[in-house]
Amino acid sequence: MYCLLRPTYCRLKKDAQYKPPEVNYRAIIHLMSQSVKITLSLIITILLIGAAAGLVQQNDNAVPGTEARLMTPKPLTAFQLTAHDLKPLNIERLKGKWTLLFFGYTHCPDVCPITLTELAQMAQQLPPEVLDNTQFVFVSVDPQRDSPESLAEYVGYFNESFLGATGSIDALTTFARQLDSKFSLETDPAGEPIVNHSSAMLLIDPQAHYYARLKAPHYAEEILAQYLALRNNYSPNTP
Amino acid sequence: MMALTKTFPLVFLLMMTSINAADKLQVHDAWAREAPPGTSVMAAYLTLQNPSLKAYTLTGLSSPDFKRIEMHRTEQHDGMSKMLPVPQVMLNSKENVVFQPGGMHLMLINPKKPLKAGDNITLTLFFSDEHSTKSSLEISLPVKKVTANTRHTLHNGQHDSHSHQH
Ligand SMILES: [Cu+2]
Repeated sequence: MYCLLRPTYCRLKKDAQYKPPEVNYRAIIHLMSQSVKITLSLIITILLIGAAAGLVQQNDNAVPGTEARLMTPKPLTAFQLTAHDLKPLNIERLKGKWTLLFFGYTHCPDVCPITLTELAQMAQQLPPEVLDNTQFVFVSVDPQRDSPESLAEYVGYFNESFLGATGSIDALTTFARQLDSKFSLETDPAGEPIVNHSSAMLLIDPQAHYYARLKAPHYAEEILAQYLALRNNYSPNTP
Repeated sequence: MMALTKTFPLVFLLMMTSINAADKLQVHDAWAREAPPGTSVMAAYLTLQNPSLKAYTLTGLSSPDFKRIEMHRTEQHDGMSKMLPVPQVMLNSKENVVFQPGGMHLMLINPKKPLKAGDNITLTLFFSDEHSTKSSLEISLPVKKVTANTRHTLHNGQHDSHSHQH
């Protein structure tokens, strides 16, 4: 409880107190016989070569910056939300463009504006031809308080091109599940809604396949670098 | 002359009191994030400093500009983002408590009039010391529109949300 209230203090204290166990490697090596030393260095050499080979191999299927890609991108199935322009947000609307999407709600004064601010900064840095076929979607999981109309104003505050969307709880649940995301709506003792939601940002490819999952916290430079790397190494047929 | 030596200790005592007053709780870097249109909540951030020898507890806040103010913290847990109420905050002697983006924030609920960047907000912080003596501190803070987050702050916030496990 104390740490819950005083996290900064606890962190500092934890760091200051932590001391790695001391091992006298020099003494251990000195005690070993010559043959053991030779065998050991051979083993180490083999391990190093193995590790290097492994790295090269990993690079074949994981170019730096593309780690967020799913092992197997998942084709999305039918869903229907309402976008802030009052038109449906469905699978058709995700096709032909890359989509960066995340879940939130407008009565979230901290993490949602922070993320939208980062996303707006990232959008500003995109080359025009990339920006042209990228859409940014904020999905509110609090449809009781967030109407499509109010979402229009909300997302427009951060970037005029951002798209807000929401839907029925059922529609939101179905959609979130497809993106390995979840949310929950509770009520606090004062009767105020409490909304919890997945913090990952999802990337959907132009074929409407759930393609990559970017973990929080979200920083403009990192979203930008990852997004560009994922696009540059994308081929529609081989995932 | 006799009168002077008699009053001197009194003057000294008065000086001590004013030093103690300067040694009391302080608030730094207070600001509120401008609310995007259509929302009725704002987050405010600040650093509380306790240079005194006493421990204090921040027990609550009020403002003539809002219906209600709560203390919250944002937590990232199991890939989920949550906002949890913090009923009160301990402020030990010679220590700081930081409310910052991605960590703890003051939740300003239902502004009585629309507030825009450049406006000022009045807040009263209520404290209780070790002997349950109540005190309060009134501060004024600016509303700001954020166009770029400070990465450093966010980073700290992220660590904060993990350290509660210990
Ligand atoms: Cu809050």
